[in-house]
Amino acid sequence: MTNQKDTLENFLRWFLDLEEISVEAKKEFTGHLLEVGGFDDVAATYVDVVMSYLIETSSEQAKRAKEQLDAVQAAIEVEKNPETSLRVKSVREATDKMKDLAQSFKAKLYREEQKKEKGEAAQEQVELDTLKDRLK
Amino acid sequence: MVDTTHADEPTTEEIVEGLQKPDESIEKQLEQELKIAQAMSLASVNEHMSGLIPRNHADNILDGRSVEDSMESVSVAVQAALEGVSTKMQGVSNALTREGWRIGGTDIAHQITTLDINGLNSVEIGTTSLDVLEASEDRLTKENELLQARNKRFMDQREVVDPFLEASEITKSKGWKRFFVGTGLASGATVSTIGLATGVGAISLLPGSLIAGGTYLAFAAVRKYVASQREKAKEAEAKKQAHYKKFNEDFLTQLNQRFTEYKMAANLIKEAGEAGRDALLVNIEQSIDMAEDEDRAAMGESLMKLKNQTNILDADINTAASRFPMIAPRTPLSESMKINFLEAVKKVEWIDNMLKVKRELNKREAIDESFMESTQAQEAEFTTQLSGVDALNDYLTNYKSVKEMEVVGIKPFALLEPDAESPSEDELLRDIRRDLAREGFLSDLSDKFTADMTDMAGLAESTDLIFTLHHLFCEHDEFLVDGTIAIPTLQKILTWIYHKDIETRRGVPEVSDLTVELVDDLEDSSSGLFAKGNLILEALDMLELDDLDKHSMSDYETSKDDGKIFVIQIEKIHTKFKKGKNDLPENDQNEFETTFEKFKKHAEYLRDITHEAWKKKKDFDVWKSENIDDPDSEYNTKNSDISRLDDEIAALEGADPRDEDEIARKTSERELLIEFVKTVEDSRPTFNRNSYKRDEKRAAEEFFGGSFEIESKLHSVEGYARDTLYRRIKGSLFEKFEKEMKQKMLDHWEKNDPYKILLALNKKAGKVTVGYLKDIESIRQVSLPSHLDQKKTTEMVLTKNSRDGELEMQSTDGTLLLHLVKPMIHVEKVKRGKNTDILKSLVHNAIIFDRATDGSLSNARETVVTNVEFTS
Repeated sequence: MTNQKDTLENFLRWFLDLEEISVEAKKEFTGHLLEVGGFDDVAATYVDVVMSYLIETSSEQAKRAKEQLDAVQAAIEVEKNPETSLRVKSVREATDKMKDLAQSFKAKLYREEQKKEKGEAAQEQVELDTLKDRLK
Repeated sequence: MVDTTHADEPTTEEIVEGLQKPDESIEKQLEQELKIAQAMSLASVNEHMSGLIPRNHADNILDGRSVEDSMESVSVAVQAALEGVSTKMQGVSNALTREGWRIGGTDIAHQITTLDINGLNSVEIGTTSLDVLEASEDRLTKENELLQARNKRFMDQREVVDPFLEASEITKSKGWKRFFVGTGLASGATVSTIGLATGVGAISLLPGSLIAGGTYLAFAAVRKYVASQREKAKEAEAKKQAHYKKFNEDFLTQLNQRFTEYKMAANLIKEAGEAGRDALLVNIEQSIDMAEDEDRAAMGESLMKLKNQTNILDADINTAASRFPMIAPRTPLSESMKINFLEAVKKVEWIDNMLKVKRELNKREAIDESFMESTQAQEAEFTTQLSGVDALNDYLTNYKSVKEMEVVGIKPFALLEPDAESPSEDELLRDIRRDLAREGFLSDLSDKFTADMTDMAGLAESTDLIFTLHHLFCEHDEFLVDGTIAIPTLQKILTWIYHKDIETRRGVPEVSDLTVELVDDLEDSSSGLFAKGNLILEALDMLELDDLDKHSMSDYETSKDDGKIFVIQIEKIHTKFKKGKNDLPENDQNEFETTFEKFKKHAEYLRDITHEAWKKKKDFDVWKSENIDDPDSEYNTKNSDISRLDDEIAALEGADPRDEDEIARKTSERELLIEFVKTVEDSRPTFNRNSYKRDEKRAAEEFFGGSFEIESKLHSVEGYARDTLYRRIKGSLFEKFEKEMKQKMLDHWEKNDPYKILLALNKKAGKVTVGYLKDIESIRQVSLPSHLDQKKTTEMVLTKNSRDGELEMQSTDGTLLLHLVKPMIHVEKVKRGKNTDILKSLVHNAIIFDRATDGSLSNARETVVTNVEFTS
């Protein structure tokens, strides 16, 4: 009997130390225990409600944290593999893009040079024709 | 991992730093622009590759997306970054293009490519995806450990406190969320998610949020909730108690009501049974009186056998009843009929005497022949003790005939139902004539019923078919059962009457109940009138001196008074019905008065003639005392009277107008006187007291010449009654047929209350053990009561199950058909030791028929089947 009493008291001490319970609720709860002089249905229902809430919310949080941890660890394994690494893939794509850009630039430059050479040749022909006319 | 192959190439910072140095030459300027563009593009790439992309990737993973899905998503960002680089480089390339020829185009292109790739490879991506993911892993590992520990703590504490919660008998709350006000729960969940995403401990934020928000309610709400639950439980209990109380009261009321109905039904059955038994007793004795000698012997034997038995079976009752076709035209008898018959037989007192004789005869048979003579003497002594059963005495003296008596079977009357279409009158008449005129029948019949056949010949020609049928049914009903009228013809007769009834009801105003009741009462009185009138005539016929002295006088006096009483009775009837007369239609009022007047007239007439007869009786007494010792004086007087009558008749015949009736009466009187005188003359040589008595009787008849008149007038009263009867038959014959013929054959299930039958059976057998049908839908086997004289257990197949509960089954061999009709729940209390059980029975009135190979049904027998369940 004494053990039971001690157990319940220890639990209530722990329960009343919970930060999750507001100070006002703790006051009301303690007041009720003193008023009825024991642990009645009302107190039991309250403890049941609070514990149900705490267990459900903490279980959900723990479950979610574990799921996230598992997912991150799986992603790390993928990233460590060069075949599947996001970084390697991204660098490869960027390199290819630069090569394409350079090739494009070279083609454009080549076309400009061709264009200028043709223009200069035509100009030389005009000047040559003009010179020929003058020479006639 | 960063590719460090070109680590000796200038870094981005070095390129930017170099670009800040001014260079005046175009080539230098272009080269600087190129390097700036490269630096900007590389910085853009680096920004994406080392910052946003890894973090977005990690967020995706933490949000629960798959690695492949996340890479697909961030590659879009990579493409966008590269497009930005391309745009920037495009701007540079335009400028370079314009002046590129001056610095050597190919070299420039090579330089750009080299720089880009080297630059890209040399980019120091500060935080790679791997770094970000590994950082999240570290954080999540710690956080997970904390959360698991916290959860375990709560679980442990819950385990600690659970015994106390269970001891307090609370219901574990599934709806704890109702004790939280507003959005406390939702905000807690949101904070937790943000905490994880931002790397800040959700645990530290969660309680803080709840407390700070003030949304976490708790104790006050719980206390209020528990109080309300207690109140609800209290109210529910009170409501339940009230419901049970009302249910019990209703149930008891219904039960008492049902028991009251059953008691009333039982009383009715008892009264009906007693009346039926009394009627049967009269019928049994009349049947024996009217029977031929052989039949009478068989009747007596069957009744003796029945009364002598201690363990009477149903077959015994049916066998005995079959000797009385007037009472039981069809056997086996119904249950009620069996009981009534048996009880009636017990009341026949003279059977006891006969039984004594019979038992004595049985004893004598066992005695040696040497004692036979003395036995016969004793037997004769017994037989002489019996009164009123002389005819049976002859039979009883012949012991062997008692032993050899045979049971004569009774032809069952077929079940008939009216057809949908009525035959024509011509067709019906033709069939009736054909049946009556079959070979040999008419001549045999004419010997027996000459007068009737004359009537019938005339009636058969009558256009009024209903009169013909009435005559047939009232005067020759034996034709209907002995096969003279064929079954198809009977069927047509019933059908024709049935349809005629409908037609008549439709066309003729219904006779009011009051009128019917009046006529019934008057006719009842009338029949009493006739009975008493006949008694008077009998008294007059029995005017032998000894008889008159013994008992006829008292009857005569009674008759005189009855004549007065009849008038009073009829006046009472008139007064009774006069009160309701005004409620009748005018025609019925007239009919009412006319009927009453006629009956009253006849009643008064009877009163007068009885009074007249009484006076004559007094005169006769005087006459008798004066003339009894002087027959010669009477002889002389008669002769004088003959002479006087001769003169009177001659005078009447000469009168104008002639009174023919008076002439006939006086002529008749004269003939009687002549016969009297002749008798006296013939008997004179051997005259003695006895012969004189006979003459005295004849003289009395002469004296009471008015008695002939009385008789004829009584016949006229009877004629009126017949006339009335005919009128009533014409109006209600069909109804009678419907009630008496159809219901007689079909009322097994039309009228019989299953419970009444059950009571009757119980009364007879104590406890009827019948087939207990477990499930009405799965009836396959019926155990039949033994009194049905049937195999105890018969396999049956359910062939019909109508919605009104009527069931029909037939035996697997097709020879039996069982109708279960009118199911009724019967509830009664049964004491079982100290306990009282409620016995619920589903009772079916049932009819069992024999089925012939042509499908026709016959030999209907009543029974009851029940399924019984016991519940405490």
